[in-house]
Amino acid sequence: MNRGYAGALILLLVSWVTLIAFLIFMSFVVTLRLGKLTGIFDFAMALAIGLTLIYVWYLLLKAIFRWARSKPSR
Amino acid sequence: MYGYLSLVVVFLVSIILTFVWTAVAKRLGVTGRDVHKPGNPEVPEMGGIIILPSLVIGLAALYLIDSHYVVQFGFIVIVAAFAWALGLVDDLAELSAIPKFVLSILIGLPIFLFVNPFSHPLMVPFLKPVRLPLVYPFLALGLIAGTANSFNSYDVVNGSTTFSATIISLAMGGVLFLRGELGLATVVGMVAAVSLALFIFNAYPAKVFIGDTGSFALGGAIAAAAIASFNESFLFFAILPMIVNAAAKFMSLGKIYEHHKAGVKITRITEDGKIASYEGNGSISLVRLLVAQKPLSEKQVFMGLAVLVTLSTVLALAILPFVGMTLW
Repeated sequence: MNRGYAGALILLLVSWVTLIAFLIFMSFVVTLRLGKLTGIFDFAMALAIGLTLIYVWYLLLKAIFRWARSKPSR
Repeated sequence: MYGYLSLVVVFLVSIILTFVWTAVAKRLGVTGRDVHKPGNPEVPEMGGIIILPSLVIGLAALYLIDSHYVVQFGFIVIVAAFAWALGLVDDLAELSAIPKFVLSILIGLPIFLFVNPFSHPLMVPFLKPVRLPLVYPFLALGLIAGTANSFNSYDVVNGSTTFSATIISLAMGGVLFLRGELGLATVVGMVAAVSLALFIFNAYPAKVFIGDTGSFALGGAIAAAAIASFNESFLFFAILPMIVNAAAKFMSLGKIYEHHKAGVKITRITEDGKIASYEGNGSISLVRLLVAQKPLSEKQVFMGLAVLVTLSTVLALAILPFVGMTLW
């Protein structure tokens, strides 16, 4: 398969899995906190995790782009 | 029941109006160069101008059949009209990225006349319905602006945005039909009908470009329908390739830009008319990723983008059973 197609597909699937994992984690946290997400701590935690995930996603994007551009070795 | 006749009306009216518009645009010189074709032929632009009249005629037909639906869900067309107007201004005046983004936030305002944002629950997968009275109004405006801009930035090759709008609105309409929400399903079906009609003309090789008028109107209408039907998370997951595309462009350059104006290099056209990645650093987009290994024809790039949107729509449908419920 063309590395460009494969890279785009991997990026989409990783983004989807990451979002689902984040939502499942938040669901778990909400349950732990007795069904309520309140206060600055909860907001800061969600924000910190979100920003970290976005940064890791960006690193992945760059890595996939570099991989797709490189010539496959024979 | 007979409300579905309005879908046929919208489809036929859209076909006729697009046919008429292509002739008028050619005569008026409202054309743009199709840079991906040999010889760069001039193609009629702003085909999306037919979306608003088609939807209004469809609503009129629906009013004759069942006026109740129009009163309840006509606001989706009002939001589409605001988005359409912004797209029209952008097509005519070529707005810069920042003013366009700010104005696109305002196109969602009419939704608050019909949907109470302070009591509207946000339906998220793996969570019980979330009520965010202070945050939801901003989320709703952001969703409409983000969807309209995402559709706009996905309109990079013939048929990519019209195909995406058709698939997403068909899926959303199908879900609403199965839920028994016939009024909303009909109005979303109208959006699917107009998208499909435009896709027939906009598919490779394009007879007409939909322009910003088209991409904004389709994005605005679909986002308004998603909010009205509590399908925000479905829409978010369905347009994931568009979000990935916009996020990649923004993060790789560190700013919002209009690449025609900013002179940002993303792709180039080879001598045989294929799309190739720009050699330097530039900005990363989905198209640039698709052509990163080797140049691809416009049709191959379209296929890549179409597969991504179809897959994300299927994945968005797959999570619907988990929306509004917890796992624990």
